[in-house]
Amino acid sequence: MRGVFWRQYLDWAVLNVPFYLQPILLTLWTIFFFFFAAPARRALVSNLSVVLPGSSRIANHLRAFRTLWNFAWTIAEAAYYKLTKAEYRYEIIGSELLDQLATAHGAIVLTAHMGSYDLGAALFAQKFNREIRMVRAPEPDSLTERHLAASLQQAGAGAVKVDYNTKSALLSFDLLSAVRGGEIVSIQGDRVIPGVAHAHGTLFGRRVQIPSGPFTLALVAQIPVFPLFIVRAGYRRYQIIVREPISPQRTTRTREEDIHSSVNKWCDVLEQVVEQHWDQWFALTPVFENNATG
Amino acid sequence: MRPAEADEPRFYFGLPRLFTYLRGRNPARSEANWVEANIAGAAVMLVSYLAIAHYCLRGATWVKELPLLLPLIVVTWIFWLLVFYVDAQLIKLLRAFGLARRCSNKRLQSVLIGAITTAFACYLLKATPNLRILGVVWITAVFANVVADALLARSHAAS
Repeated sequence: MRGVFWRQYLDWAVLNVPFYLQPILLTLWTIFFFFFAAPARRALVSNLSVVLPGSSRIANHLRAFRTLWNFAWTIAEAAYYKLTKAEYRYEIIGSELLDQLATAHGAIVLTAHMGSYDLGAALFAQKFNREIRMVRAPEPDSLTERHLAASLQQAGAGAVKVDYNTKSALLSFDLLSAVRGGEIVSIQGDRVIPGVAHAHGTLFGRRVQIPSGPFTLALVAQIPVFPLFIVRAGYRRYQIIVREPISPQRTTRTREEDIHSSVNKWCDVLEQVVEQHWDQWFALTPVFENNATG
Repeated sequence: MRPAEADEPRFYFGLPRLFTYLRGRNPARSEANWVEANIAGAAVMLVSYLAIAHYCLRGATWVKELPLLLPLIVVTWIFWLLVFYVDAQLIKLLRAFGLARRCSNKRLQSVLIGAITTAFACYLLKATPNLRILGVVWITAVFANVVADALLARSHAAS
């Protein structure tokens, strides 16, 4: 289920299948993946049991289906935008904050695996005529990784550059130099990949690992971190949610404590948004520590 | 949709466009209509599913029919996936002969899908009364859309 075939098939379908067959086909494909992408389904059910405590396993399986269905729509609409440059309607929640971000000389956009972050980056780059450097977790399949990077660059008409979050220290220096040079760097802050620096935070009363890189970068470069989420609000309609920036400050405490304070603020924002849009939190791996998968 | 096609009178669904036009609004084709996307797609799947189910289960008792209704959804789905692929090859062939170059792949697929679904609807005319009604509804809708397309094309040419 991880190969590049599925992404290529999606691109082919976007160009060859009439739009009115897409809803029903996406539903059928969601049913297929719901049964055959068992690890992703289990992870969703497991995460949902924490996000929505007290709900039954059957209810969480239905919610996992809804999340996968939203995921199918999100990647299909992102592919549609990439290949046809179709116009999407979107509403901005926190537009004055988005304006602040657009004019910032160096900033970090902290987002989650939620809604269409790829489409969001492309729309932002297009609307404000600014370049974005996007840091992503590497894909398990190298061909898929290449396909996604090419897709992002194509969707953003060259204004979206993609870097991969690896153990390499070179990337950190590269990103520091980019934000100091006034660039905007977008990082997904809800998932940690092995070997990458992380801090501990609390989400829904449970301990989670959060990448500490964005906060370290913001602290060193003294730039703000803007929490930003792109959620699907309907058929080819999106909501861009921007929250108050987090500005890591150097205090007399240790650096870890300063970073921890920002991580906690981020966790609060993430929790509020996930609580509201749990059906678009595409956390396809277990997020919460010591959470049994089912 | 190719930019050049956006304002051309080749509509996916002429009937709603004609109503839009008669109300004095812009009838240009749009792929952003949620209602059209859902209703038309569901209708294509329903007509084809019922025709395939009727063909595969003819003569079977309801005890035999019932457990096969679900797998037949998968059969219908696979059928359409194959149709899309075969249609795509056919479109490539047409283009190789210099035909239909001004139309997008999706538009040509749409014509072929419409024709296949209409064939299924014709098959349903020979089925039970309820299925026959569905067949008649589909064929009437297709006919009304073709007439609406022709009227819109005429008004477009005149303007």
